[in-house]
Amino acid sequence: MLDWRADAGPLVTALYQAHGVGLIRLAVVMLGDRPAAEDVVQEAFCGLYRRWDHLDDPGNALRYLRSSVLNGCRSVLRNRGRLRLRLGQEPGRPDSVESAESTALVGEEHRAVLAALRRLPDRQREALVLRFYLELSEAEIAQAMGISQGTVKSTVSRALAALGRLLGESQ
Amino acid sequence: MTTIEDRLRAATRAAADTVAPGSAPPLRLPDREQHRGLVRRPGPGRRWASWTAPLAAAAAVTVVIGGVLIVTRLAHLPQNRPGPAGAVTVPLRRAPSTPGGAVPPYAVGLAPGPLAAQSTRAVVRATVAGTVLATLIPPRGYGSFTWVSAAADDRTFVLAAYGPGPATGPGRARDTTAFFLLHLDPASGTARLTPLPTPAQPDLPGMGSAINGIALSPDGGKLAVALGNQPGPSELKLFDLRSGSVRVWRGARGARIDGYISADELGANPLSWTADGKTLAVDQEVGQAIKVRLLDTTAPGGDLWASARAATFPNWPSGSVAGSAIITPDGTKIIAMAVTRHATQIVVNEFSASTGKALGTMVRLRYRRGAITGWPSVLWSDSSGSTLIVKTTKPGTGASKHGDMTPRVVGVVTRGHFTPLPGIPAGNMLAW
Repeated sequence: MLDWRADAGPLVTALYQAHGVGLIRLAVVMLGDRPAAEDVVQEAFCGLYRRWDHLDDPGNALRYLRSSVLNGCRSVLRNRGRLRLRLGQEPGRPDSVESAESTALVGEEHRAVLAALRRLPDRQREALVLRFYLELSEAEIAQAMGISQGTVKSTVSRALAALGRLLGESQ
Repeated sequence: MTTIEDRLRAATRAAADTVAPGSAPPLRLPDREQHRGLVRRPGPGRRWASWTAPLAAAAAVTVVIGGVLIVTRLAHLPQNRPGPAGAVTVPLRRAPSTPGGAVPPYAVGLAPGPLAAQSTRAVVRATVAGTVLATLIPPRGYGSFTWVSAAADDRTFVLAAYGPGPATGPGRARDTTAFFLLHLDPASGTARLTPLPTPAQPDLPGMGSAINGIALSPDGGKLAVALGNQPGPSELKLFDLRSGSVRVWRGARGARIDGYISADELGANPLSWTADGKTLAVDQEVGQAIKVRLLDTTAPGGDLWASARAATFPNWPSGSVAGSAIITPDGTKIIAMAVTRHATQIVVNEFSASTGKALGTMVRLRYRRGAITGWPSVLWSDSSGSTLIVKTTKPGTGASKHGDMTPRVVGVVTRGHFTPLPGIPAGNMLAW
């Protein structure tokens, strides 16, 4: 039997085998960019590995990883937004880094929705992805985002309204 | 009719399905003992999947050779390593005699250690000559120095160190950020590092340190700590280093959801003080622009954004991005750098701190299109803002190839001119 504190390597690797693809998918939805998504997930697992001794319960590992991936996505998006401003591009413009692979595989209707999603402020986008892609409860979203359940509810509501407006504009 | 929610579910799943089952690249885990420092934030576009395998064999050879080099190099590192209860003193070399009285004589920079992600050292340099005068490594138990800030006397600094801290019992504690006072005494030729009684700030599980800025007050009596690297509201803690008391301001929940205290990824501080130690300027990231908030730390109130007066800049160049902005010590101006819309110039702008009105452009640095990468920052200002130390893309640099970072340089801005300080590494976090 594995000693979960001592055997971090095999356990983190096993977690990656079980959840790596799922977390890359989450990051792809957030970022629209597979290489960046893979980087974020790699960093999240490395962070878990480095901090394995501090984990009170291995059952919390997935929650830790999910928070770490979301945080990594926030950093990428912020850097991207500032880079775009630096280059004189419109701040709300959809990401131009979306991979050719994604463009080819995702239909036009879906691309329009994803483009609108990526024009939302970071927190609104995050709340919608957690709610409608991961199907998390309000309590789980509140925990993942570090905000109250009331704020989750209002954020999701505002985000849906904003998304509707953006999709209306694009049609 | 399909609802927005249904369309969103379908679109996000379609995007997710572009990642095929079993297509995750192999996981590469670091050496746990050598990488207990900060979790490095990912940079965009750093592709590792395709070249992992061929590099693995080369890396294995490098590790063996590197191991020998590490042992050799570690033997030459300064042996300061204080425990939390004790101070440590290292020699401070005499600064070479150089002109340059307009800028403080000592710069403290946080430099990477011999290995990436290894201990970050604090290096004391002579500002003008760039000569290394003293080097300190993080205290025992801490992996890295992460922040540095200076008092107005240019002899007193605070360093933040991150890591699990010294072992105090069975099991390992959470990683924390602890604070240390660095005092330079050229008369006795010593640099002394002393643990501060300020409570260590615990990290956020999965997110590393929550701290994204510190500022020591000009008299060295108070330490402002920005906690903005967290998913919830930003917080600002003000520690009185003499009485041990602490005051906390929090960003209101449910307020502007993308409002964070910002930190320049290249190490500029989002906090700056006026000389009287009353007003703290806080760079706030609102959406993707920077707004400067002026917080009267002597006034009542605990809501960070509601308590702080917003400095508005109607003439801020539209479409450009400013790096961190600072308030001049006399409290009259906000100084900020910006990249112009077509990314061919970097300008240093000054604004009235009381009205937000643009007062003028102090200097205009010109570049070829595509040469500017990263964003510029004002790092230090004299009392009135007439002399500045800034970090910017090196003037005369050609366009970056393949999106690489072009060289950056630290220099002095005064009377419309920029003068590089070639001995000060621009990749370091710096304080004067």
